[in-house]
Amino acid sequence: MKFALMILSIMLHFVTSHAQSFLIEAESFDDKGGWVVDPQFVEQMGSPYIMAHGMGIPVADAVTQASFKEKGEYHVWVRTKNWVPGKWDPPGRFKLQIDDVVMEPTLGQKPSWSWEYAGSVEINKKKVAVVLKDLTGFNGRCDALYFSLENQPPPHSGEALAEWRTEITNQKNAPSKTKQYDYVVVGGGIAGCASAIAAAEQGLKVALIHDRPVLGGNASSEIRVHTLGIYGHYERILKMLDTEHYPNGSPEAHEDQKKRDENVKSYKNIDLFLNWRAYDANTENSTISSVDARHTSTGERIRFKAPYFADCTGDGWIAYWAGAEFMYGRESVDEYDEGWDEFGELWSPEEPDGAVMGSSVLWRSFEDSKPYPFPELPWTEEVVGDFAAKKGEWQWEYSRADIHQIHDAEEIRDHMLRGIFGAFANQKKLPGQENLGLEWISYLVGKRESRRIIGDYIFTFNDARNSKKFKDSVVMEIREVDVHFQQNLKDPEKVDFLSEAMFYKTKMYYIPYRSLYSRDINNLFMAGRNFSCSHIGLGGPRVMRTTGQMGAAVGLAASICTKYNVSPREVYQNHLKEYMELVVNQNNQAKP
Amino acid sequence: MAIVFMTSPLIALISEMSYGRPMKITRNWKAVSTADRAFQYVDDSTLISMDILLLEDDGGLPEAYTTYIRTPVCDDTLCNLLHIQMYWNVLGNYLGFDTIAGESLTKNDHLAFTNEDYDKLHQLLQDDNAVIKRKSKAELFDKTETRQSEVVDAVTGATALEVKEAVVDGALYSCYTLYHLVYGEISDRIQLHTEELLDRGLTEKLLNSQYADDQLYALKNLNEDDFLRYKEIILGLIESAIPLNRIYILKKMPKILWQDREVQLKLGKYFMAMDVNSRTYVLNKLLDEDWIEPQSLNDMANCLTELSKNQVKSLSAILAKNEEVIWSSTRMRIDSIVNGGQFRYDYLLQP
Ligand SMILES: Cc1cc2nc3c(=O)[nH]c(=O)nc-3n(C[C@H](O)[C@H](O)[C@H](O)COP(=O)(O)OP(=O)(O)OC[C@H]3O[C@@H](n4cnc5c(N)ncnc54)[C@H](O)[C@@H]3O)c2cc1C
Repeated sequence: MKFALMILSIMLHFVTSHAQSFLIEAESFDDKGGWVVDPQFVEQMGSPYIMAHGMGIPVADAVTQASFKEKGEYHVWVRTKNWVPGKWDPPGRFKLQIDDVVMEPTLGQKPSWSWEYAGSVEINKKKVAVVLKDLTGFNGRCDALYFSLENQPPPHSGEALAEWRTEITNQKNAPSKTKQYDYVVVGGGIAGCASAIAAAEQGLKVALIHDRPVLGGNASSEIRVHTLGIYGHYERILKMLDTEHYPNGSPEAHEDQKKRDENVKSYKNIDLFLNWRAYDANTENSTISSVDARHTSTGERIRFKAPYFADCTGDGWIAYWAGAEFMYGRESVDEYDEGWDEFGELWSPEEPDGAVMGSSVLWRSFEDSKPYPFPELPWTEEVVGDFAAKKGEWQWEYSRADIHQIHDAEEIRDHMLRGIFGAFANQKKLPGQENLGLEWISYLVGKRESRRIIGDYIFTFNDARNSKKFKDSVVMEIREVDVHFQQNLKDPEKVDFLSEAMFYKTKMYYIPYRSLYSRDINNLFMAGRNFSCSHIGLGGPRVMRTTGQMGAAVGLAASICTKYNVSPREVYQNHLKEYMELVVNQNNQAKP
Repeated sequence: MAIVFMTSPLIALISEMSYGRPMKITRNWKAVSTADRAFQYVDDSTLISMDILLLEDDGGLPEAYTTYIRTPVCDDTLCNLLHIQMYWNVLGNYLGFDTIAGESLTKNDHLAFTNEDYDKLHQLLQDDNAVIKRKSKAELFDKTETRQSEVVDAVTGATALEVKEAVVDGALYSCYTLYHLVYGEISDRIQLHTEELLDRGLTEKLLNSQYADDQLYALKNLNEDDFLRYKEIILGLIESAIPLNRIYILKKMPKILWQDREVQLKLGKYFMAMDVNSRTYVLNKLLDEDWIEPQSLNDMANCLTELSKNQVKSLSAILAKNEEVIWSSTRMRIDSIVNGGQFRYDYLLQP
């Protein structure tokens, strides 16, 4: 090899060389300035990326030091995307600066993720600052930078890109580091947190893997939905995790965030892996042996081995990778006899389809003490028309027949951002709005519904409306069954990102333990909105105290599994009495 | 406090009433020719009995239902008797109301409803999903401070403020009582009654109605043969109906119609004006069909720049599958769009 290995100072894993070429993953930048790390769409576009989420004000530069061992003229490509292609200037534009040289091309120009050529640069020293300079504050994004002495861009996308990436970064897909636990929980929403705590209290050594810096999922200070539902048997545990009843989007979420994070961290036998995203579940003979995860910034990988796993990702990722059966979309009204005449087709269709409840992006504005200028945004007009708003609530929800809540999540998020920026821009045009400013816009998609993993029991609307009791009832709820539909189905004049709710009032209803473990993967539990239920069945118990109850229930089940070395199903078959005693006595237990 | 009102026979009075255009009405009022008693309804809580009358149009087809409602409206201390003539459509949905001479509605302070108040009541009754729908009376009277935050995903309990905004100021109880009468058991029984009367004449009338709920009700009652029989009406609806109904039709339309040249031509013609979900459905359906009308394909290709990303993918799959029937003019048009540098998803169609 003619050229020595070139690596970035500290990032051993993310920057490696191919002779005279190397890659810098943007999420591994030393100083990300005002850019945020976005790992939500890794499965679709290949990597976490960083984004200039400045609500219209350009964010501070992201800077990293690149070490070049070889002098010469380097060609530079930046993997980025024009997130609103059309007849306007791309909203998310930025520049690349190398040392003192600002590269000519403006980046963020091409639709869909691709390598944009940033020009060539003469490098004649070893350490060079690489700087991303945001131009707009409107969500420019950068996945990676590629430097090469050869004028040959990397593969465009898909498999080829993924293979090239592992090669250029010298990584194997399988992690070299392994950790062993009694119980591995993936996804740190309320369900995942409750599950980790319940299992830890029973003495299990638990890993909680979560792809964000803070816990709580939709309830976190990053998304800010408040928790609804009752505590069931798990008041003590859930009170460590839930929220006050503040308006969705409220900064009061920070208080509860602190409480939640501190509580989970107080458990010595929970190893918390924040900013780690699982990407595979190694499965043989229908049994998961390990889950592989990657740090969202450094790219470091760990293999988590355990006899039992819980899928609390909301999207059923572990089940999906393990090959478990799952459902997506609306069942036909006859499938589980879930009709409700009052809303007919909107509630449950005669023919099944792929429509589901949509995802949301919450946001708020504030009254500034001085004028708050805001530009005209031609790239929002086709989404908002003249619709104006000051804040977003739960009705800001997006679902469409041709988009999938997982595969097209980036498109959903971006559509919501256009809706938000556009509605706000319209609001600003109204009289008396000079001082109105943008306080906060989440960049995370708050999801309601996607994959539902199939368990031994499928919970449906009828279980709720008939208040059916089970001998393995481990979750209870009184919250109405509510299911949403897009307003523009009834009125095509409405903007396409608003929904309406249909409420069915019920008495207390119960969820059996059997809908909380996979029916075909032997050692997989699930809790949260990806539990085993029909589309309408999810309508009630998807709220977060209820999903928290599910989490706690499976955490306790994992302890019985461990005690007797049995599968989740065998807990129901052979140890139900002991398990139910553990469940119903939860509130009487003190925190160990 | 239980107040029992005598069930006095008001029928004589009612049948003498004329059913001209009610004061408030959601639809065009069609002159009615007859009024027959459809059924009797006795309110559980007040034991008041009411005669629900069926009104027919000139052609003798069911047009609406109506009844004279007298009901006590009580607040904490006193009760008032409220009189109103209420109307439903044949599906049991709210249609309108009329005041009774000398019995105008009153508010808490005994002042008569103003025109604006009647407007507001009408607006409330039109909302089949109003905030007071699933509230019990006790919840309405709940005086505890509720925060704005109560308006959340999933909380039926609207705020005091939301309720206040939805009802006539100073007439919460009257609004609540009427709303629940309109959307209560009477509505269900009207539906049952209409079901008995549903023949070809009524089906056609409802299919041809300009109102979405009529259309959907009739559509739901069609079988495969009916779809063929009413093909022309169905095609008209595909063009004009609201998205919900259009998608319902597309999902229910029998295979034989998907393979019908005229149907495909119309689908192509209307494609541009269709809502996004229907377009997706049409594209995915045509992708599965063995045969596709070249003209329709051409028409859909013309909409290329209006399509969403995933729709472009579907269309491109259709084009690939039907290579041999694509007109060269269609091919040229697509090429010029793809190579024109203006189309946001051109990369999806590039080889
Ligand atoms: C706008 C909105 C309003 C709502 N209103 C309410 C309400 O008022 N009250 C209420 O209680 N509920 C409400 N809901 C519903 C509720 O928030 C959801 O159903 C929630 O997702 C349920 O919690 P969960 O723990 O199952 O999932 P989540 O909260 O989604 O948590 C799952 C977590 O797993 C993480 N994760 C995913 N994949 C991986 C991976 N591969 N590796 C590591 N981590 C991963 C995700 O980042 C996520 O944080 C609302 C939802 C929305 C969107």
